[in-house]
Amino acid sequence: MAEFRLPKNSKISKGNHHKADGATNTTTFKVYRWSPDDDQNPRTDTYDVDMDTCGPMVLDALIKIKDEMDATLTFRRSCREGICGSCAMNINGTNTLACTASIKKLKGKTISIYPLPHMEVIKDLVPDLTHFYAQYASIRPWMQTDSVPLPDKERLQSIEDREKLDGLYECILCACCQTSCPSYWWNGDRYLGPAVLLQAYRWLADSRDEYTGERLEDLEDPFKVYRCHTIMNCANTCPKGLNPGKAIGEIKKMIAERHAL
Amino acid sequence: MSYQSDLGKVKGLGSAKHGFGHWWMQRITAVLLIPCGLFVLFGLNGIDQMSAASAAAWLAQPLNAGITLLFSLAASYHAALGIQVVVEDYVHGHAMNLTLRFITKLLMIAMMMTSIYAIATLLFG
Repeated sequence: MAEFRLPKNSKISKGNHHKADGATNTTTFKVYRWSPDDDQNPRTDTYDVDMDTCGPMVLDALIKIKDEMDATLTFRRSCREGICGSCAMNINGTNTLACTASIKKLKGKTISIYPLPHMEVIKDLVPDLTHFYAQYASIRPWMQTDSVPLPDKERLQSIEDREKLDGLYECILCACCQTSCPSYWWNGDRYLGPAVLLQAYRWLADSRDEYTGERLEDLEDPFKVYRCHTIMNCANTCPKGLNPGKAIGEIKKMIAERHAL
Repeated sequence: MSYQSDLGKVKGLGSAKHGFGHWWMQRITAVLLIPCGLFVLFGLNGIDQMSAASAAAWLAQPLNAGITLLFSLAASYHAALGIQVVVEDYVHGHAMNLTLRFITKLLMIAMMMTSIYAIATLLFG
């Protein structure tokens, strides 16, 4: 059966409380902590962060915690402007990018931060995305062609055809949608998930690609595509405002067309 | 311990190259159930007396019998397809998964045969 409860060694206990001495304007961050280096269960540590000396985004607070309060806190980050997707995590129950999540706009006195749901945790807020990346590689996310282009010409694309990639090419593969999808939680081993399927459609929709048939043939599978039950958590959570659910619908439409409908 | 690559694990046994049929029939039967369901609902609601005899008399009319049979067959098929999805989603033990899916199909056939027999009996005496 699908697992609905956390295993014993994953039950979360209450951790340490780090206070901001002397600060008057503080926000409390409750952060998931787990280390592979000891035999402890995961815990949630709380940090009172002085907002007078902190930047506006959740990532600013995490960096401040790591710099000034607890150097052991581990998380991924890179661009701090919503384009690399490294700092995807679950903030107040929603998967999003810590660098574009404004602390002021989050409701409640305490901000809860957990790693992306239902993924193996490497440490603290760092999930293991190996399987996700392998799934991405499996859809061959590059242009596949048989025709040979003239050596001094690029492959042309009309403005209208280029516009078909809008809402797809912006995906940064942060895995927010992927790990928000209950179908992916239960059957992530075989279901490709919203992010990978949006990427698959990005190549199906590309007028320059010549392997549409092969791509569709490879996708038509009860698990790879048809585990999508249009729950639409993906579209709700996408920090870039994209709609993977719609892309999956387009794939289903293309497969239907392939079957002469 | 396995040295299989991550990509190898993901590709697994490859695409089943089906899945559309299931998805399409689920939608076809869903759409069919709306008019047929409403017909049966309003038809049975409109009979003079709420008794088995008056329901049997209503079902003895060819049009009523035909649409009720269509409703019953579509509902059985739609339910079986839906339950199959639930089992595939949540029951990961191979033996249990196969058993439940077998029972689902068996129940579907039983429901269909019962409907055909019942309505045919009423229609043709």
